[in-house]
Amino acid sequence: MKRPILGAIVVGTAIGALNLAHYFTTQQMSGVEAPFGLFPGGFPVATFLGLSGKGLSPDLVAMLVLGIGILAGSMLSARLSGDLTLSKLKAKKLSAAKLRRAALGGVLMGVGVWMAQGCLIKHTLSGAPGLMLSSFTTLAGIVAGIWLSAQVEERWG
Amino acid sequence: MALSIVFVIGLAVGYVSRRYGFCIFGALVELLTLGSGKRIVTVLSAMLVFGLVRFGSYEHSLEHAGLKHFVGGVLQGVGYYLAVGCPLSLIVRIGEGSKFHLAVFASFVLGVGLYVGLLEDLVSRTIGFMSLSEVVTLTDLF
Repeated sequence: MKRPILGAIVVGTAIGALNLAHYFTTQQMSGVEAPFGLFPGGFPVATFLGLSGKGLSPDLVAMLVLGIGILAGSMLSARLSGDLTLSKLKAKKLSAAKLRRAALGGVLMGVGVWMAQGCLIKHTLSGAPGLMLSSFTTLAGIVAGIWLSAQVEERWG
Repeated sequence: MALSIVFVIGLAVGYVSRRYGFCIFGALVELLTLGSGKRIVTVLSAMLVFGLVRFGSYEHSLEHAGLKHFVGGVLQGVGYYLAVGCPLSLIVRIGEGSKFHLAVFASFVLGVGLYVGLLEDLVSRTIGFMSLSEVVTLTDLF
């Protein structure tokens, strides 16, 4: 790309507009506690609550539908670019080390997202511009966690 | 109708994120480990759009900032590092056919179950009530 900064601004603006569109759409939904921006971390949360039979509030239904939409959009993009084929899917195998890493990472994400009432996307794209102190606190924790992990891997990797 | 719109928004987010590599986690890692701020421009642009319309007035999950937000953030940060991505890139990578991220997703669901079933009570009795501020938003300070 000849102008990477301009491209970055265009992509960011598009995501920002979609975030805002999500906010105003949930504002129109009956039963939603308070309107909210993009919250992909709510997808696994809604999946768990749906599977456990606890029932889904309108907020969680919206998170579930958003997650399915993101999945479909990514699959569409991968299919159009030829990156998603059956042979490729069959060829990939996971080592035990990667499975352990996935298991630990996933569990920590699940616990952390629920504890902090939001994921990186929600706290960055909506909470921070909304000047929520809880979002700034969560983001400080996320940055500390990433930095700490990078240091540990670099030294003992 | 509203849910159909949410689905279309998700479809667009998934397509754009994968096609143009939008990833807040990736931008943060680049900034923290390589000192490169190129990808963070995308994130700042996205924040600016929301801020122009709803600056200082986001009301979802209205809570006083507390220690549980910081601890939850640290756990997320470590989880993102191990899983090589945040929840958005996790879903996007599953859409690409990544078995690793499918395993992360399954563990994420288990993590939510672990918190709801075992840890929620413990957290509310220990760090849950430790509020860092009396106000909810920065604008309340002034």
